[in-house]
Amino acid sequence: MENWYAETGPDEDVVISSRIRLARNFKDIAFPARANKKQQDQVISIIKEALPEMNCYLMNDLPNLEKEYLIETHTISSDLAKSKKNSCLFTNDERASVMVNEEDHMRIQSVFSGLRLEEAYDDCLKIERNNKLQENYAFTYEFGYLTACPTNTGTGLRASAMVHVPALVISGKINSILDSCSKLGIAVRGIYGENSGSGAHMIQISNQVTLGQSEAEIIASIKNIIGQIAVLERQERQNLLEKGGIHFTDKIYRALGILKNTRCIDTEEALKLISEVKMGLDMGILKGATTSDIVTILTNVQPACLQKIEGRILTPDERDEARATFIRENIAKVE
Amino acid sequence: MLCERCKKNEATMVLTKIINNKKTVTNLCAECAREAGNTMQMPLDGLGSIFSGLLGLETLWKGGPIQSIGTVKKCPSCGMTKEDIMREGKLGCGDCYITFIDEIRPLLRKIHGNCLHHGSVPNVDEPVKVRKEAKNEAPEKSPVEMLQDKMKEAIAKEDFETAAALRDQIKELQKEGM
Repeated sequence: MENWYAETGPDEDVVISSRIRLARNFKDIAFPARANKKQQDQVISIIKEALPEMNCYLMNDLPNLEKEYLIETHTISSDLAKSKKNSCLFTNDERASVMVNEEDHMRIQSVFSGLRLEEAYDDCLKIERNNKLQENYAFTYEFGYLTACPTNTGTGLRASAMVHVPALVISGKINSILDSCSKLGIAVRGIYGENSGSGAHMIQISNQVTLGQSEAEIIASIKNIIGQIAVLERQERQNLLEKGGIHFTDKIYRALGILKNTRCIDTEEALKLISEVKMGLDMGILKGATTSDIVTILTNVQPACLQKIEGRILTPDERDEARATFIRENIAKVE
Repeated sequence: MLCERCKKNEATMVLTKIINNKKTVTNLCAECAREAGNTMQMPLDGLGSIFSGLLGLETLWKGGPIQSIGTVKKCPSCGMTKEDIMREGKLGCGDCYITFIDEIRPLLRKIHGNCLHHGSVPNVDEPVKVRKEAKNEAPEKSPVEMLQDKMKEAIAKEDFETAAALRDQIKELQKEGM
Protein backbone atom coordinates (compact mmCIF):
# COMPACT_ATOMS: atom_id res chain seq x y z
CA MET A 1 0.00 0.00 0.00
CA GLU A 2 1.17 3.51 -0.83
CA ASN A 3 2.01 5.73 2.13
CA TRP A 4 -0.06 8.88 1.98
CA TYR A 5 2.26 10.78 4.33
CA ALA A 6 5.32 10.60 2.09
CA GLU A 7 3.94 13.08 -0.44
CA THR A 8 3.12 16.77 -0.51
CA GLY A 9 -0.40 18.14 -0.80
CA PRO A 10 -2.31 21.44 -0.99
CA ASP A 11 -2.64 23.43 2.26
CA GLU A 12 -0.27 20.98 3.93
CA ASP A 13 0.95 23.66 6.38
CA VAL A 14 -2.37 23.12 8.19
CA VAL A 15 -4.11 20.11 6.64
CA ILE A 16 -2.11 16.93 7.26
CA SER A 17 -4.41 14.51 5.48
CA SER A 18 -7.83 14.05 3.88
CA ARG A 19 -9.78 10.84 4.24
CA ILE A 20 -12.96 9.52 2.64
CA ARG A 21 -14.79 6.50 3.95
CA LEU A 22 -17.78 4.89 2.26
CA ALA A 23 -19.90 2.37 4.19
CA ARG A 24 -21.65 -0.28 2.09
CA ASN A 25 -23.58 -3.41 2.96
CA PHE A 26 -24.91 -6.27 0.88
CA LYS A 27 -28.60 -7.03 0.68
CA ASP A 28 -29.99 -10.27 2.10
CA ILE A 29 -27.00 -10.73 4.42
CA ALA A 30 -27.22 -9.69 8.08
CA PHE A 31 -24.85 -6.87 9.08
CA PRO A 32 -21.57 -8.15 10.62
CA ALA A 33 -22.63 -7.90 14.30
CA ARG A 34 -25.65 -10.07 13.51
CA ALA A 35 -24.10 -12.31 10.86
CA ASN A 36 -23.02 -15.90 11.40
CA LYS A 37 -19.73 -17.32 10.17
CA LYS A 38 -21.28 -18.50 6.92
CA GLN A 39 -22.71 -15.05 6.14
CA GLN A 40 -19.40 -13.37 6.96
CA ASP A 41 -17.64 -15.77 4.60
CA GLN A 42 -20.26 -14.98 1.98
CA VAL A 43 -19.41 -11.26 2.30
CA ILE A 44 -15.70 -12.00 1.87
CA SER A 45 -16.30 -14.18 -1.17
CA ILE A 46 -18.47 -11.54 -2.89
CA ILE A 47 -15.66 -9.01 -2.45
CA LYS A 48 -12.95 -11.48 -3.47
CA GLU A 49 -14.83 -12.23 -6.66
CA ALA A 50 -15.48 -8.56 -7.41
CA LEU A 51 -11.96 -7.37 -6.58
CA PRO A 52 -9.63 -10.20 -7.59
CA GLU A 53 -6.68 -7.80 -7.81
CA MET A 54 -6.80 -7.06 -4.09
CA ASN A 55 -5.18 -9.13 -1.33
CA CYS A 56 -7.23 -10.20 1.67
CA TYR A 57 -5.65 -10.16 5.14
CA LEU A 58 -7.68 -11.82 7.89
CA MET A 59 -7.35 -9.98 11.20
CA ASN A 60 -7.09 -13.29 13.06
CA ASP A 61 -3.99 -14.20 11.05
CA LEU A 62 -2.16 -10.88 11.51
CA PRO A 63 0.41 -10.49 14.32
CA ASN A 64 -0.52 -7.87 16.94
CA LEU A 65 2.35 -5.58 15.98
CA GLU A 66 1.17 -5.51 12.38
CA LYS A 67 -2.37 -4.64 13.48
CA GLU A 68 -1.12 -1.82 15.72
CA TYR A 69 0.98 -0.52 12.85
CA LEU A 70 -2.09 -0.48 10.59
CA ILE A 71 -4.02 1.42 13.27
CA GLU A 72 -1.25 3.98 13.73
CA THR A 73 -1.06 4.64 9.99
CA HIS A 74 -4.89 4.94 9.94
CA THR A 75 -5.26 2.00 7.56
CA ILE A 76 -7.64 0.12 9.85
CA SER A 77 -9.79 1.04 12.85
CA SER A 78 -9.08 -0.37 16.30
CA ASP A 79 -12.56 -1.94 16.13
CA LEU A 80 -11.52 -3.98 13.12
CA ALA A 81 -8.30 -5.10 14.83
CA LYS A 82 -10.17 -6.11 18.01
CA SER A 83 -13.00 -7.85 16.19
CA LYS A 84 -13.33 -11.57 16.78
CA LYS A 85 -15.51 -11.78 13.70
CA ASN A 86 -14.29 -12.81 10.32
CA SER A 87 -12.85 -9.35 9.76
CA CYS A 88 -10.27 -8.58 7.14
CA LEU A 89 -8.53 -5.89 5.16
CA PHE A 90 -8.49 -5.83 1.37
CA THR A 91 -5.59 -3.88 -0.01
CA ASN A 92 -3.07 -3.72 -2.85
CA ASP A 93 -0.51 -1.25 -4.22
CA GLU A 94 -3.21 1.35 -4.80
CA ARG A 95 -4.25 3.93 -2.25
CA ALA A 96 -7.79 2.79 -1.43
CA SER A 97 -8.41 -0.16 0.85
CA VAL A 98 -11.48 -1.95 2.19
CA MET A 99 -12.21 -2.96 5.77
CA VAL A 100 -14.53 -5.96 5.68
CA ASN A 101 -16.90 -7.19 8.41
CA GLU A 102 -16.24 -4.30 10.73
CA GLU A 103 -19.46 -2.50 11.68
CA ASP A 104 -20.60 -2.70 8.05
CA HIS A 105 -19.83 -5.31 5.40
CA MET A 106 -17.55 -2.89 3.55
CA ARG A 107 -15.82 0.29 4.55
CA ILE A 108 -13.98 1.60 1.54
CA GLN A 109 -11.43 4.25 2.38
CA SER A 110 -8.73 6.36 0.89
CA VAL A 111 -6.32 8.87 2.44
CA PHE A 112 -4.42 11.67 0.70
CA SER A 113 -1.98 14.19 2.11
CA GLY A 114 -3.11 17.83 2.31
CA LEU A 115 -6.61 19.03 1.52
CA ARG A 116 -7.67 16.61 -1.23
CA LEU A 117 -11.09 15.24 -0.29
CA GLU A 118 -12.33 15.07 -3.89
CA GLU A 119 -9.35 13.01 -4.96
CA ALA A 120 -9.87 10.64 -2.05
CA TYR A 121 -13.57 10.33 -2.96
CA ASP A 122 -12.80 9.59 -6.61
CA ASP A 123 -10.30 7.01 -5.45
CA CYS A 124 -12.93 5.26 -3.30
CA LEU A 125 -15.38 5.27 -6.23
CA LYS A 126 -12.96 3.14 -8.25
CA ILE A 127 -13.83 0.32 -5.86
CA GLU A 128 -17.37 1.37 -4.95
CA ARG A 129 -18.60 1.53 -8.57
CA ASN A 130 -17.49 -2.06 -9.26
CA ASN A 131 -20.39 -3.74 -11.11
CA LYS A 132 -20.37 -6.96 -9.12
CA LEU A 133 -20.44 -5.04 -5.85
CA GLN A 134 -23.14 -2.63 -7.01
CA GLU A 135 -25.51 -5.49 -7.80
CA ASN A 136 -25.41 -6.49 -4.17
CA TYR A 137 -25.65 -3.23 -2.24
CA ALA A 138 -28.39 -2.86 0.36
CA PHE A 139 -30.07 0.29 -0.92
CA THR A 140 -33.50 1.94 -1.01
CA TYR A 141 -34.42 5.11 -2.87
CA GLU A 142 -35.85 6.55 0.31
CA PHE A 143 -32.96 5.87 2.70
CA GLY A 144 -30.04 5.42 0.30
CA TYR A 145 -27.30 2.97 1.34
CA LEU A 146 -28.37 1.02 4.41
CA THR A 147 -25.83 0.82 7.21
CA ALA A 148 -25.69 -0.91 10.60
CA CYS A 149 -25.65 2.41 12.44
CA PRO A 150 -28.34 4.93 11.43
CA THR A 151 -25.75 7.72 11.75
CA ASN A 152 -24.19 6.49 8.47
CA THR A 153 -27.37 5.81 6.49
CA GLY A 154 -27.82 7.54 3.13
CA THR A 155 -24.53 8.24 1.43
CA GLY A 156 -22.53 6.17 3.95
CA LEU A 157 -19.94 8.89 3.43
CA ARG A 158 -17.58 10.19 6.07
CA ALA A 159 -15.30 12.96 4.82
CA SER A 160 -12.63 13.91 7.30
CA ALA A 161 -9.41 15.82 7.52
CA MET A 162 -6.58 15.82 10.04
CA VAL A 163 -5.79 19.44 10.79
CA HIS A 164 -2.67 20.77 12.54
CA VAL A 165 -3.70 23.82 14.58
CA PRO A 166 -0.98 24.61 17.16
CA ALA A 167 -1.50 28.38 17.07
CA LEU A 168 -5.26 28.11 17.60
CA VAL A 169 -4.64 25.69 20.49
CA ILE A 170 -1.96 27.91 22.11
CA SER A 171 -4.15 31.04 21.83
CA GLY A 172 -7.25 29.15 23.04
CA LYS A 173 -9.24 30.31 20.00
CA ILE A 174 -9.80 26.70 19.01
CA ASN A 175 -12.68 26.43 21.52
CA SER A 176 -14.95 28.91 19.79
CA ILE A 177 -14.23 27.17 16.47
CA LEU A 178 -15.15 23.81 17.99
CA ASP A 179 -18.39 25.35 19.27
CA SER A 180 -19.41 26.61 15.86
CA CYS A 181 -18.44 23.29 14.27
CA SER A 182 -20.80 21.39 16.56
CA LYS A 183 -23.60 23.83 15.68
CA LEU A 184 -22.99 23.16 11.97
CA GLY A 185 -23.21 19.40 12.41
CA ILE A 186 -19.46 18.91 12.05
CA ALA A 187 -17.72 16.45 14.37
CA VAL A 188 -14.32 17.28 15.87
CA ARG A 189 -12.08 14.71 17.51
CA GLY A 190 -8.54 14.41 18.86
CA ILE A 191 -5.77 12.78 16.87
CA TYR A 192 -6.87 9.14 16.88
CA GLY A 193 -10.61 9.16 16.98
CA GLU A 194 -12.71 9.82 20.04
CA ASN A 195 -11.38 10.61 23.50
CA SER A 196 -7.74 10.94 22.55
CA GLY A 197 -5.77 13.95 23.67
CA SER A 198 -4.57 16.22 20.94
CA GLY A 199 -0.99 16.43 22.21
CA ALA A 200 0.32 17.07 18.73
CA HIS A 201 -2.21 19.88 18.27
CA MET A 202 -4.09 17.79 15.74
CA ILE A 203 -7.81 17.62 15.38
CA GLN A 204 -9.93 15.57 13.07
CA ILE A 205 -12.87 17.29 11.40
CA SER A 206 -15.65 15.26 9.80
CA ASN A 207 -19.27 15.44 8.67
CA GLN A 208 -22.01 14.06 10.90
CA VAL A 209 -24.92 14.24 8.47
CA THR A 210 -24.89 11.49 5.83
CA LEU A 211 -28.52 11.58 4.69
CA GLY A 212 -30.38 14.24 2.71
CA GLN A 213 -27.29 15.78 1.12
CA SER A 214 -25.42 14.60 -1.94
CA GLU A 215 -21.84 13.38 -1.66
CA ALA A 216 -20.67 16.53 -3.43
CA GLU A 217 -22.53 18.78 -0.99
CA ILE A 218 -21.11 16.97 2.04
CA ILE A 219 -17.55 17.15 0.69
CA ALA A 220 -17.94 20.80 -0.29
CA SER A 221 -19.17 21.82 3.16
CA ILE A 222 -16.36 20.00 5.00
CA LYS A 223 -13.83 21.45 2.58
CA ASN A 224 -15.22 24.92 3.16
CA ILE A 225 -14.98 24.59 6.97
CA ILE A 226 -11.44 23.26 6.77
CA GLY A 227 -10.44 26.07 4.43
CA GLN A 228 -11.74 28.60 6.96
CA ILE A 229 -9.91 26.90 9.84
CA ALA A 230 -6.70 26.96 7.78
CA VAL A 231 -7.07 30.72 7.22
CA LEU A 232 -7.66 31.32 10.95
CA GLU A 233 -4.70 29.13 11.92
CA ARG A 234 -2.37 31.04 9.58
CA GLN A 235 -3.58 34.39 10.95
CA GLU A 236 -3.06 33.17 14.49
CA ARG A 237 0.46 31.92 13.71
CA GLN A 238 1.28 35.40 12.39
CA ASN A 239 -0.31 36.96 15.49
CA LEU A 240 1.75 34.79 17.81
CA LEU A 241 4.92 35.69 15.93
CA GLU A 242 4.20 39.42 16.07
CA LYS A 243 3.04 39.51 19.68
CA GLY A 244 5.32 36.81 21.08
CA GLY A 245 8.39 38.01 19.20
CA ILE A 246 11.58 36.43 20.48
CA HIS A 247 9.67 34.26 23.00
CA PHE A 248 7.70 32.58 20.23
CA THR A 249 10.81 31.95 18.12
CA ASP A 250 12.61 30.73 21.23
CA LYS A 251 9.88 28.14 21.88
CA ILE A 252 10.33 26.71 18.41
CA TYR A 253 14.15 26.62 18.63
CA ARG A 254 13.95 24.99 22.07
CA ALA A 255 11.70 22.27 20.68
CA LEU A 256 14.21 21.67 17.89
CA GLY A 257 17.06 21.72 20.44
CA ILE A 258 15.47 18.97 22.52
CA LEU A 259 14.66 16.82 19.49
CA LYS A 260 18.22 17.12 18.17
CA ASN A 261 19.74 16.10 21.49
CA THR A 262 17.27 13.77 23.17
CA ARG A 263 18.50 10.31 24.18
CA CYS A 264 15.16 9.04 25.48
CA ILE A 265 11.68 10.45 24.78
CA ASP A 266 8.08 9.22 25.14
CA THR A 267 5.46 9.48 22.38
CA GLU A 268 3.51 12.35 23.90
CA GLU A 269 6.46 14.69 24.38
CA ALA A 270 7.82 13.77 20.95
CA LEU A 271 4.51 14.56 19.22
CA LYS A 272 4.22 17.92 20.99
CA LEU A 273 7.76 19.01 20.11
CA ILE A 274 7.59 17.76 16.52
CA SER A 275 4.34 19.71 16.17
CA GLU A 276 6.14 22.91 17.24
CA VAL A 277 9.01 22.24 14.84
CA LYS A 278 6.50 21.64 12.06
CA MET A 279 4.91 25.04 12.77
CA GLY A 280 8.39 26.63 12.66
CA LEU A 281 9.08 25.04 9.27
CA ASP A 282 5.66 25.97 7.87
CA MET A 283 6.24 29.62 8.94
CA GLY A 284 9.72 29.78 7.46
CA ILE A 285 11.40 30.22 10.86
CA LEU A 286 13.15 26.87 10.44
CA LYS A 287 14.54 25.40 7.23
CA GLY A 288 15.90 22.15 5.86
CA ALA A 289 12.90 19.81 5.77
CA THR A 290 9.58 19.58 3.97
CA THR A 291 6.18 19.14 5.61
CA SER A 292 6.01 15.55 4.37
CA ASP A 293 9.41 14.85 6.04
CA ILE A 294 7.95 16.02 9.34
CA VAL A 295 4.66 14.16 8.91
CA THR A 296 6.68 11.02 8.18
CA ILE A 297 8.55 11.53 11.48
CA LEU A 298 5.27 12.25 13.32
CA THR A 299 3.86 8.97 12.03
CA ASN A 300 6.94 6.86 12.70
CA VAL A 301 7.53 7.86 16.33
CA GLN A 302 4.38 5.95 17.34
CA PRO A 303 5.08 2.67 19.18
CA ALA A 304 4.15 0.12 16.52
CA CYS A 305 5.65 2.10 13.60
CA LEU A 306 8.89 2.41 15.55
CA GLN A 307 9.02 -1.32 16.28
CA LYS A 308 8.40 -2.07 12.62
CA ILE A 309 11.33 0.11 11.66
CA GLU A 310 13.52 -1.60 14.31
CA GLY A 311 12.22 -4.96 13.13
CA ARG A 312 11.55 -6.34 16.61
CA ILE A 313 9.34 -6.02 19.71
CA LEU A 314 10.72 -3.39 22.10
CA THR A 315 10.08 -2.79 25.80
CA PRO A 316 8.71 0.70 26.65
CA ASP A 317 12.21 1.85 27.76
CA GLU A 318 13.81 0.51 24.59
CA ARG A 319 11.12 2.27 22.58
CA ASP A 320 11.85 5.65 24.18
CA GLU A 321 15.53 5.20 23.33
CA ALA A 322 14.85 4.02 19.78
CA ARG A 323 12.43 6.92 19.30
CA ALA A 324 15.10 9.42 20.40
CA THR A 325 17.63 7.91 18.00
CA PHE A 326 15.15 7.90 15.12
CA ILE A 327 14.21 11.54 15.73
CA ARG A 328 17.84 12.71 16.04
CA GLU A 329 18.75 11.03 12.77
CA ASN A 330 15.77 12.40 10.86
CA ILE A 331 15.68 15.92 12.25
CA ALA A 332 19.42 16.60 11.91
CA LYS A 333 18.95 18.47 8.64
CA VAL A 334 16.51 20.99 10.15
CA GLU A 335 18.06 24.32 11.15
CA MET B 1 -35.42 -20.21 16.15
CA LEU B 2 -38.32 -22.46 15.17
CA CYS B 3 -41.92 -21.54 15.88
CA GLU B 4 -42.85 -22.96 19.28
CA ARG B 5 -46.36 -23.82 18.10
CA CYS B 6 -45.97 -25.59 14.74
CA LYS B 7 -42.24 -26.31 15.17
CA LYS B 8 -41.87 -26.10 11.39
CA ASN B 9 -41.39 -22.49 10.35
CA GLU B 10 -38.86 -19.90 11.47
CA ALA B 11 -40.27 -17.82 14.36
CA THR B 12 -40.58 -14.20 13.31
CA MET B 13 -42.95 -12.86 15.97
CA VAL B 14 -42.91 -12.88 19.74
CA LEU B 15 -46.33 -13.26 21.37
CA THR B 16 -46.43 -11.77 24.85
CA LYS B 17 -49.47 -12.57 26.96
CA ILE B 18 -50.13 -11.16 30.37
CA ILE B 19 -52.84 -13.21 32.06
CA ASN B 20 -53.57 -12.58 35.73
CA ASN B 21 -50.30 -10.67 35.97
CA LYS B 22 -48.42 -13.68 34.68
CA LYS B 23 -46.36 -12.97 31.57
CA THR B 24 -45.76 -15.67 28.98
CA VAL B 25 -43.58 -15.22 25.93
CA THR B 26 -43.98 -17.43 22.86
CA ASN B 27 -41.97 -17.30 19.64
CA LEU B 28 -44.25 -17.87 16.66
CA CYS B 29 -44.07 -17.93 12.90
CA ALA B 30 -46.25 -15.47 10.97
CA GLU B 31 -48.79 -18.21 10.25
CA CYS B 32 -49.27 -19.28 13.87
CA ALA B 33 -49.24 -15.68 15.05
CA ARG B 34 -52.11 -15.02 12.66
CA GLU B 35 -54.01 -18.03 13.98
CA ALA B 36 -53.37 -16.87 17.53
CA GLY B 37 -54.84 -13.58 16.37
CA ASN B 38 -57.94 -15.44 15.06
CA THR B 39 -58.59 -17.10 18.38
CA MET B 40 -58.50 -13.70 19.94
CA GLN B 41 -61.45 -12.72 17.75
CA MET B 42 -59.85 -9.67 16.36
CA PRO B 43 -61.31 -8.02 13.29
CA LEU B 44 -59.48 -9.61 10.39
CA ASP B 45 -60.67 -7.76 7.36
CA GLY B 46 -57.49 -7.67 5.36
CA LEU B 47 -53.78 -7.60 5.64
CA GLY B 48 -53.38 -4.36 7.52
CA SER B 49 -55.70 -5.17 10.35
CA ILE B 50 -54.02 -8.50 11.03
CA PHE B 51 -50.90 -6.66 11.97
CA SER B 52 -52.46 -3.62 13.45
CA GLY B 53 -54.49 -6.07 15.52
CA LEU B 54 -51.44 -8.01 16.55
CA LEU B 55 -49.49 -4.87 17.20
CA GLY B 56 -52.32 -2.89 18.71
CA LEU B 57 -51.67 -4.63 22.01
CA GLU B 58 -54.73 -3.96 24.17
CA THR B 59 -57.52 -6.36 23.44
CA LEU B 60 -59.81 -8.73 25.27
CA TRP B 61 -59.73 -12.49 25.18
CA LYS B 62 -63.15 -13.91 24.55
CA GLY B 63 -64.48 -14.47 28.03
CA GLY B 64 -61.03 -14.62 29.56
CA PRO B 65 -59.45 -12.36 32.14
CA ILE B 66 -56.71 -11.02 29.89
CA GLN B 67 -55.23 -7.72 30.91
CA SER B 68 -53.10 -7.20 27.91
CA ILE B 69 -51.83 -9.17 24.99
CA GLY B 70 -49.37 -8.19 22.36
CA THR B 71 -46.65 -9.29 19.99
CA VAL B 72 -43.22 -7.85 19.53
CA LYS B 73 -42.30 -7.18 15.94
CA LYS B 74 -39.22 -9.07 14.83
CA CYS B 75 -37.25 -8.53 11.64
CA PRO B 76 -38.09 -11.55 9.44
CA SER B 77 -34.52 -11.67 8.10
CA CYS B 78 -32.30 -11.23 11.14
CA GLY B 79 -34.63 -11.53 14.14
CA MET B 80 -33.88 -8.09 15.61
CA THR B 81 -36.65 -6.58 17.75
CA LYS B 82 -37.20 -2.88 18.36
CA GLU B 83 -35.78 -3.35 21.85
CA ASP B 84 -32.59 -4.92 20.41
CA ILE B 85 -32.17 -1.95 18.10
CA MET B 86 -32.72 0.56 20.88
CA ARG B 87 -30.30 -1.28 23.16
CA GLU B 88 -27.54 -1.68 20.59
CA GLY B 89 -28.14 1.53 18.66
CA LYS B 90 -27.69 -0.49 15.49
CA LEU B 91 -29.80 -2.36 12.98
CA GLY B 92 -29.32 -6.02 12.19
CA CYS B 93 -29.71 -6.07 8.42
CA GLY B 94 -31.04 -4.09 5.47
CA ASP B 95 -34.53 -5.51 5.97
CA CYS B 96 -34.71 -3.97 9.47
CA TYR B 97 -35.13 -0.62 7.70
CA ILE B 98 -38.37 -1.90 6.14
CA THR B 99 -39.61 -3.86 9.15
CA PHE B 100 -39.17 -0.95 11.55
CA ILE B 101 -39.83 1.79 9.02
CA ASP B 102 -42.16 3.69 11.36
CA GLU B 103 -39.47 3.86 14.01
CA ILE B 104 -36.57 4.41 11.60
CA ARG B 105 -38.02 7.46 9.85
CA PRO B 106 -38.27 9.69 12.94
CA LEU B 107 -34.90 8.38 14.15
CA LEU B 108 -33.19 9.33 10.88
CA ARG B 109 -34.93 12.68 10.90
CA LYS B 110 -33.59 13.32 14.40
CA ILE B 111 -30.03 12.37 13.44
CA HIS B 112 -29.79 13.94 9.99
CA GLY B 113 -32.52 16.58 10.01
CA ASN B 114 -34.41 14.73 7.26
CA CYS B 115 -34.93 11.20 6.04
CA LEU B 116 -34.75 11.25 2.25
CA HIS B 117 -31.61 10.20 0.36
CA HIS B 118 -30.17 12.70 -2.11
CA GLY B 119 -26.91 11.00 -2.92
CA SER B 120 -25.65 8.51 -5.47
CA VAL B 121 -27.58 5.46 -6.65
CA PRO B 122 -26.12 2.04 -7.46
CA ASN B 123 -25.83 1.21 -11.16
CA VAL B 124 -26.65 4.77 -12.17
CA ASP B 125 -23.53 5.87 -13.95
CA GLU B 126 -22.06 9.00 -12.60
CA PRO B 127 -18.83 10.53 -13.71
CA VAL B 128 -15.95 9.49 -11.47
CA LYS B 129 -15.60 13.09 -10.38
CA VAL B 130 -17.45 14.90 -7.67
CA ARG B 131 -19.99 17.01 -9.44
CA LYS B 132 -20.58 20.54 -8.22
CA GLU B 133 -24.31 20.13 -8.60
CA ALA B 134 -25.06 16.55 -7.91
CA LYS B 135 -28.45 15.74 -9.35
CA ASN B 136 -30.08 12.45 -8.64
CA GLU B 137 -30.53 10.88 -12.04
CA ALA B 138 -34.08 9.67 -12.19
CA PRO B 139 -34.28 5.89 -12.02
CA GLU B 140 -36.38 4.20 -14.68
CA LYS B 141 -39.09 3.58 -12.14
CA SER B 142 -40.23 5.95 -9.45
CA PRO B 143 -39.53 4.97 -5.85
CA VAL B 144 -43.22 4.23 -5.36
CA GLU B 145 -43.30 1.93 -8.39
CA MET B 146 -40.21 0.11 -7.19
CA LEU B 147 -41.78 -0.43 -3.79
CA GLN B 148 -45.05 -1.56 -5.35
CA ASP B 149 -43.14 -4.21 -7.30
CA LYS B 150 -41.43 -5.33 -4.14
CA MET B 151 -44.75 -5.48 -2.31
CA LYS B 152 -46.26 -7.66 -5.05
CA GLU B 153 -43.23 -9.94 -4.77
CA ALA B 154 -43.64 -10.15 -1.00
CA ILE B 155 -47.35 -10.99 -1.34
CA ALA B 156 -46.55 -13.71 -3.89
CA LYS B 157 -44.09 -15.15 -1.35
CA GLU B 158 -46.77 -14.84 1.35
CA ASP B 159 -44.41 -12.60 3.28
CA PHE B 160 -47.22 -10.42 4.55
CA GLU B 161 -45.20 -8.70 7.20
CA THR B 162 -42.80 -7.24 4.65
CA ALA B 163 -45.74 -6.46 2.37
CA ALA B 164 -47.46 -4.49 5.12
CA ALA B 165 -44.27 -2.58 5.88
CA LEU B 166 -43.85 -1.80 2.19
CA ARG B 167 -47.45 -0.66 1.91
CA ASP B 168 -46.85 1.80 4.77
CA GLN B 169 -43.69 3.02 3.07
CA ILE B 170 -45.59 3.59 -0.19
CA LYS B 171 -48.34 5.50 1.60
CA GLU B 172 -45.76 7.71 3.27
CA LEU B 173 -44.01 8.41 -0.02
CA GLN B 174 -47.29 9.22 -1.74
CA LYS B 175 -48.06 11.64 1.07
CA GLU B 176 -44.72 13.35 0.44
CA GLY B 177 -45.69 13.58 -3.21
CA MET B 178 -42.95 11.34 -4.58
